[in-house]
Amino acid sequence: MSSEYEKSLEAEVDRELKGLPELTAPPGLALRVMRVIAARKAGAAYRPPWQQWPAWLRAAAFTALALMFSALCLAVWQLPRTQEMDLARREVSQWLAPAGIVWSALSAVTHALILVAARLGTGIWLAWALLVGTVYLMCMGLGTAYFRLAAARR
Amino acid sequence: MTEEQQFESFMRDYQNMVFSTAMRLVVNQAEAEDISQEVFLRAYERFAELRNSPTAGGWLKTVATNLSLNHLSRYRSRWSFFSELMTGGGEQDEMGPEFAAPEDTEVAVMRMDRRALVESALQKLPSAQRVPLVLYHLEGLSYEEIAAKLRVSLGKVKTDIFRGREALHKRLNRHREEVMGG
Repeated sequence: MSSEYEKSLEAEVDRELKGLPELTAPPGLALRVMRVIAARKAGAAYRPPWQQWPAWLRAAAFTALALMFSALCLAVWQLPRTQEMDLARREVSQWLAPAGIVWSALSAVTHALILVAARLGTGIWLAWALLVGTVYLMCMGLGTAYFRLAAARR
Repeated sequence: MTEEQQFESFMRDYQNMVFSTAMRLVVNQAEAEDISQEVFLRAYERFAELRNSPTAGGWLKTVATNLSLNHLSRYRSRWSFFSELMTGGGEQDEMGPEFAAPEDTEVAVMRMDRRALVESALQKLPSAQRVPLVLYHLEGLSYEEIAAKLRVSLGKVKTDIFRGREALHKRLNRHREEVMGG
């Protein structure tokens, strides 16, 4: 790779590439863009991202959110101290009592599964991990192949 | 003239340039259209500044380049391993487009054929060679700027550009021999 050769190659490629005319944009491009602009304009003021809202709307939204958050914090702090909350807690506990049976059953099943898993050898788990990994890579490979085929045909 | 009409006129002045920039980098018409649309939507948000600015063309080209590179890098990390397996990771050795030797020797006809050949050869380069080649020769970036944009080493940029130039040179020589051979 002589430097003279590289320079002449660079000059040749530069000449060829800079001699290329601009490609013609598809005829529908301008129309597409104008349609999107019109749709955005027709939409509500809150549709664009928050940073693009008018300043007054951003200030109002921020104030409303701050007030809601403060009210929520106050409610969470004060509610547990009220009598109504105690009554509600007792009612909910009664409703959820049957769920306790289901929860115990699920816990028992989970413990059993953990015991079974502990008894299985490390080899089984490695084989599972290898199988999952292989299937994942196969899906990635197939997806790539189909994507490139579709892109090439287009 | 309303602002939309002014913007439409502005867009028609620059749409070929923006589309060419995107198309030569991503080599996919649908994706180049989407990128061009995004470029002009961003331009619309800043139309008040761009309207009469002498640097509007440069701004559009920069945004088109950056969006195209973002698009390419979004897919590169996921597909690159398998893509390299499928393409062999290097120069594609397929034949270029067949051009019948012209019966007359009008320079304009030959120039059009040659431009079409160069365009086709450029699009057939693997993206690792095509992208830095386009950034260097058509966008005017330096090797260092290209390496920074693509987040690769300077050596890789120089190697890829050299390989891309050689691949183009081979195809153009092949065409020249076919035309001369008649």
